[in-house]
Amino acid sequence: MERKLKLISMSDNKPLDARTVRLFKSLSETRKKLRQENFQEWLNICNEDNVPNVNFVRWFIDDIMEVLNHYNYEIANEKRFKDEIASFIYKLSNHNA
Amino acid sequence: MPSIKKKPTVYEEEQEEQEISFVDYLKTLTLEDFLDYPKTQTFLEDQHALDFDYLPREAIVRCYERMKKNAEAYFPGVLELDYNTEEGESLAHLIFNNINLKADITVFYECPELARGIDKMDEITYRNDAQKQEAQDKNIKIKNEKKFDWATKTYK
Repeated sequence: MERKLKLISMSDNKPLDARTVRLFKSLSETRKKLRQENFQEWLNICNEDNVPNVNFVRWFIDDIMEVLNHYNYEIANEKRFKDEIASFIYKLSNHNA
Repeated sequence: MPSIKKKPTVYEEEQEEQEISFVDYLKTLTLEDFLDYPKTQTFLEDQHALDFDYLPREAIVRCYERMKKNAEAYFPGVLELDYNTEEGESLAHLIFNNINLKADITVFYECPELARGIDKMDEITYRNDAQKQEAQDKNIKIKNEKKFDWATKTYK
């Protein structure tokens, strides 16, 4: 059976119908979940000495904290800070190595 | 040194008016007071950024470079996409956005000119609030004056 693909027009200013909004939300959540799963997977990947990447992230954060403590700086939100550093390392890493 | 009146208290009428120097007045203020005044706020924020640029930024970049070398040696793939080890500055920027403002308000005691006008802030804020209130009252009055004319079905 031949089915035609109907494209959603985004040019006009009409609001999207509820079904389309739900679809986009669901797609966005799925992507987010997949990214999170990939990230967790990457954290648990081990090197030759059987040390996981999460340990490297921890050492990295500890080193930065040491520098900040030395200069008497305080972190505004420690959890957010750690998440951002971990994301920073993840983005700069080759996940297929 | 010009003198200014002390903040009024509830016992104002009973007490004689005391006059204190501008520096003494500054010493009664907190960091929040200085951050509420645009001139001193800008100064403190600029100083905070300059202080961070002076030493910690370089230390963070060095720390990043060290960690990058460790990653290359022991964690294949980690930080590998930073080919020329140039993301230390980005890391410093990320960290700067995550730290609390570190400010030394004693600088205003040593150089009171930097905070000149802060004593008038209360007065200005009060005056602005009064003007806003007055403008709001006027709007309310205008709204109340409008009446609906059923014959023409419009507001007059």
